[in-house]
Amino acid sequence: MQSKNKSLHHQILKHMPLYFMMIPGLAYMFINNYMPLAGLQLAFKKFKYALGIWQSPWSGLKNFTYLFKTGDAWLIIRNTIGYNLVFIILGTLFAIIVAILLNEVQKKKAQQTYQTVILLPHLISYVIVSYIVYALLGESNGMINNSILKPLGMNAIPWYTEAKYWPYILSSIQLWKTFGYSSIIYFATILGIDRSYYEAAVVDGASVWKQITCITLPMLKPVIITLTLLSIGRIFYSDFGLFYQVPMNTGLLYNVTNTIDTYVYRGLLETNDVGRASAAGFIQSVLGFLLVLGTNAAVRVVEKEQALF
Amino acid sequence: MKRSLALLLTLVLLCTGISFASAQEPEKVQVAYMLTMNPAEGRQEVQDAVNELLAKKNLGIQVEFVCIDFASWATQINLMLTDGTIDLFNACFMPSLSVLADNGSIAPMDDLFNKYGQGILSTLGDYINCAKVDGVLYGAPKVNAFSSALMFVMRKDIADELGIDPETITDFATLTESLKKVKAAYPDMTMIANGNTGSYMSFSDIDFLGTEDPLGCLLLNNGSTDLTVQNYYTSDSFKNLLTYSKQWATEGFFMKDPLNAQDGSMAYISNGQAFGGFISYSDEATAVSVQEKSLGKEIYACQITTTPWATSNNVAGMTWCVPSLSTHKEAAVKLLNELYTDADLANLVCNGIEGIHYKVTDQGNITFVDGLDPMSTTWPSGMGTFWPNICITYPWQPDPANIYDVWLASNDTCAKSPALGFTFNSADVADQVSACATVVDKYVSALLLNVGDQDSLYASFLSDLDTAGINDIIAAKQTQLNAWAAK
Repeated sequence: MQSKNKSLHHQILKHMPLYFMMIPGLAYMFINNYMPLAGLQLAFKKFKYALGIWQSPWSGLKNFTYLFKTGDAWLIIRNTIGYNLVFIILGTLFAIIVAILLNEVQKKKAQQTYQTVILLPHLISYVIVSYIVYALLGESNGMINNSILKPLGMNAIPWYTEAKYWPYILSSIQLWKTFGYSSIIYFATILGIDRSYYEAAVVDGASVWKQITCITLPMLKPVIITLTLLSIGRIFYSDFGLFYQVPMNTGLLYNVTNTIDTYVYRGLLETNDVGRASAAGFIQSVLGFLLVLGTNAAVRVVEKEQALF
Repeated sequence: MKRSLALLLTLVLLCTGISFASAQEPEKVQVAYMLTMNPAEGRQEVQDAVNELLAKKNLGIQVEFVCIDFASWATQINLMLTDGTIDLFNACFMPSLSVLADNGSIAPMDDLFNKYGQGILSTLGDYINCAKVDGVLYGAPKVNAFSSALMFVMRKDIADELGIDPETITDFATLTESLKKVKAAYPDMTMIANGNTGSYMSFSDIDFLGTEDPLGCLLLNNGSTDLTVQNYYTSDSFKNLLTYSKQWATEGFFMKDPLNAQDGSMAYISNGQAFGGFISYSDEATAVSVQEKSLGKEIYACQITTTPWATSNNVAGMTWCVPSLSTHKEAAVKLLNELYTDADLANLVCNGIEGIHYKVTDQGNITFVDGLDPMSTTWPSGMGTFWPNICITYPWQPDPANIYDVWLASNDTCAKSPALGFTFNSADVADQVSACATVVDKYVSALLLNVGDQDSLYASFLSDLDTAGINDIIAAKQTQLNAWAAK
């Protein structure tokens, strides 16, 4: 017993510099991720500026009711989850394909160029994206209407008033903007796969397709599961820029562009209500957390070693 | 033991010494000041001049300007309300007074104004009631020409060229006829500019009763004292507007892609894309004087609705408040009182320092000191309307010296809403208000620009408002209004 303790003590002492290096990271985690947890109580309080967070009176579930007040509550939740599911499925598929293709590019220079080019959209802010989209879709000056549809003898389409096009427009924009970034993670994993697997496969006469399906994809599986689980945790959140800026806050498109985040923003714009805003955040994070637990449990049932925890 | 006792004694002595000294020191009042185009680099100079003036008056207060950029005004002020770093601020571009009062961010003022704010009370007269929520006073509206009517401002050069007499434009019908003429001569020009998200006019001849959207309002008629709260969106007035907007849209008066506009409507007149646009002012002369300065173009203003009305919304739009967490509330109110009554002080904050920023002309108004212009001056010249009382300062050229007397006179003579002084407290129907706000966002601009099928949109707009609970808001407003009227 004594010696075990001593060795633990010894171990800690030996790795002291490493523990020391951990302190800033832990402090950051604590300040940014754990201290705000105390703010969750705001979702159940009527926040009074003069009293502060702790002294404000409790208000039960009153802060939550506004979320379900309009007839649109179902629509908003459907939009949020629906778009996110599409983004997760298409996004992952696209990112993997691009990563594999990148890996097959033989010339180092070309590979680096492609990698940079596909990353560029990720670096553009959604405000700017919204103007690029407007330059394409605008009715009076937009490129698609004036340089493509009209010369072809077709009628101009009033994009910003026709809701039916926007699920496709928004999905394409999101894909275009994110695929470069997410494919890099997959690409890095592919680079880490031991080359000898492929060499052995070539010796056995496996085609490129066979190499992809039998080596690359199985090796990618843990990363796919981890990234998907992480995005499921955020399935009740939506990118405010994508759903508010890109459709330029156009009322006629709300049926397909209104998500929980934009609804909360519009509803609370006039009142700055801290409690109600926290209530929305509370629902988003708690439901997301439960979904992650659920999905992880499902993964554990199917393949125990692939589960996150 | 002895030593610690001695230490304690010294400490006590030190503390009393400090507090004794601080009693002599003037109390510092932090005043939030909004920066717009001009960065106000002379702020220290003006602040020193203000403090010199205050020292002479021996009030025991000092001022420190806390400069906040226009773009982050609401966010910054909101943050400062949680920790009490400011003592006095103008609650403009913020949630309405009733919301601020309800969430406890601003302090009640009744006692303080009675003690230290007699000058404020006598300056504002009955208009001070517009800053009351549930009978409690929460601040002081800035002095202004309080009434407002719908105006159409238009470019003078084009109107003159086509022989359009602004005197003949008095309502939507005559306006439409004139705009047709202009459209024929300038087919590519926008007749009625709209702003961000497509809105192009504020609704007139109604009293919003203290909410941002007319969710339950009084329809104002000359001489009527009717206090029935109604749904504006089902009123004849709104339906009439829908009919006209349909006509305006078919005539091509609106901008192309109106819902995608990213600027204020007046900016499109300024840059030459639009002939005119709607705006609300107390009278035509004021509209011309204010807008010509910012547009850089000569304009006419034509009053479209018959009566400029004073309502609580118009009066309390810019109200000076003291945060609940301020530790210098008395000093803040003393300062506010001086800002309402002391012409020298008001001139300093509104116009800057005489001889450095402005000079007085023979006509009794002021102009820039030689070599300065609105951008190069170190104290913003156009921000006088931000401060509590511009009406006791010098007007800028080319406004006549008596322009503020005209404003003040209009406050005495203008038509007053029978609910003037009433502000709705929306706390009990906050859910319905936020639900209705998103419904209004969704439909109103599209309806008034005639985008999509107006008739079916209008029908679903009304039914969505119903679902969102507009009738609860109307009923709550009616109950509070009746209680207010009974007092």
